[in-house]
Amino acid sequence: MRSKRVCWAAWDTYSTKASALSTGASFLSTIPISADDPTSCRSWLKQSALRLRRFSFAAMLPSPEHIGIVRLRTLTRVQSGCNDLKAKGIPSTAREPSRAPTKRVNAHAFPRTSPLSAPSSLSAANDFCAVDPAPRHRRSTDRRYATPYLVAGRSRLWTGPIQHCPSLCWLLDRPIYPLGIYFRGFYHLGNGIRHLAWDFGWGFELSQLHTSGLAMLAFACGATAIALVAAYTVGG
Amino acid sequence: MAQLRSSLGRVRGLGSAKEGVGHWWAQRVTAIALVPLAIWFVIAIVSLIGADYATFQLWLAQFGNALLMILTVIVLFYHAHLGMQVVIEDYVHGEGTRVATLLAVKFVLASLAASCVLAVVLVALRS
Repeated sequence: MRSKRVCWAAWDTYSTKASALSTGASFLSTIPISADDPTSCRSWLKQSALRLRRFSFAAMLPSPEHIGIVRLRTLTRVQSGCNDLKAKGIPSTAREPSRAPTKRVNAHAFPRTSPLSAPSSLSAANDFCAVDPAPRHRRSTDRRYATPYLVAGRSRLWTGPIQHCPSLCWLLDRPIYPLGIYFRGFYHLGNGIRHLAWDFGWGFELSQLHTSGLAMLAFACGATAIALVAAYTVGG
Repeated sequence: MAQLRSSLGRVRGLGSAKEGVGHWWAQRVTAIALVPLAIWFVIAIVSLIGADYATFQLWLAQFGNALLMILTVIVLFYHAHLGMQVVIEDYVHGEGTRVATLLAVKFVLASLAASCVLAVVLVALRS
């Protein structure tokens, strides 16, 4: 199921990108395909994904897998990839991407019923989903992580070689927690405690000022590090 | 009119409002209260990373968690208001702009605090 998804995402993104890169387009078209045979279509997709992966390594582009993980949530794009294939006359058995159920349940959605009314056990419980609907390998595209993903700014130049190393792939797939918010909070906390000490009349000597300032910075950095380690331990 | 007032009267103006230290004290008290609350908040949030809504609802439905969350929210926004007030009074010149900014900050922070408390209550009471 996953490889199928990857194939489709690869087709989707590369069909748009390849239009700009004529080399990519000609690269794909060299793979033979018969339009009325679903198995041939599937193998063609697999083969083209493999070839694209090698091609992307050479061109320092993100690999299909990587793009697949990033963009699988955008079903419209996958759909547009389908339409491209439909235009090429590929049968729908091969065309239909295996995707999440049509009715997506938002785990963070609020139930429609009044919160203070007596819960009618089943319907109220079913109004929001108790289970995270996203599978494990797609978790990094979850809504929670969408913004960190944008912030991460994985450019072509440095994700290119990295993503072909499995251990670094693991690193790339980690969610990115808001480091800045932790640091700002702990900085304010440390400096606030320092200020409280001043209010009590402590630490006005210049040497003490330097010491407390450094201690505050160390506290902010250390607490941020501890919080991030805890976050990765809890959140994976 | 101004000439008729004595120098002492002009210096005294309308007199002291007798609340000069109140702001300072409130800021310190909220700061001290926020030290444990903020640490608790960070620990709670980090331990809830990746939790779904149902888990969070169960967590927040516990009395202590809801209580600490409401306290955190109220104290945090009060402290934020006091701090913003100092900054605005010190650095925004011009009577009209200053009063308008102070009012806007007051309204925004009060609305945020009220909505946070309301959200905590609603989520905690949803069963």
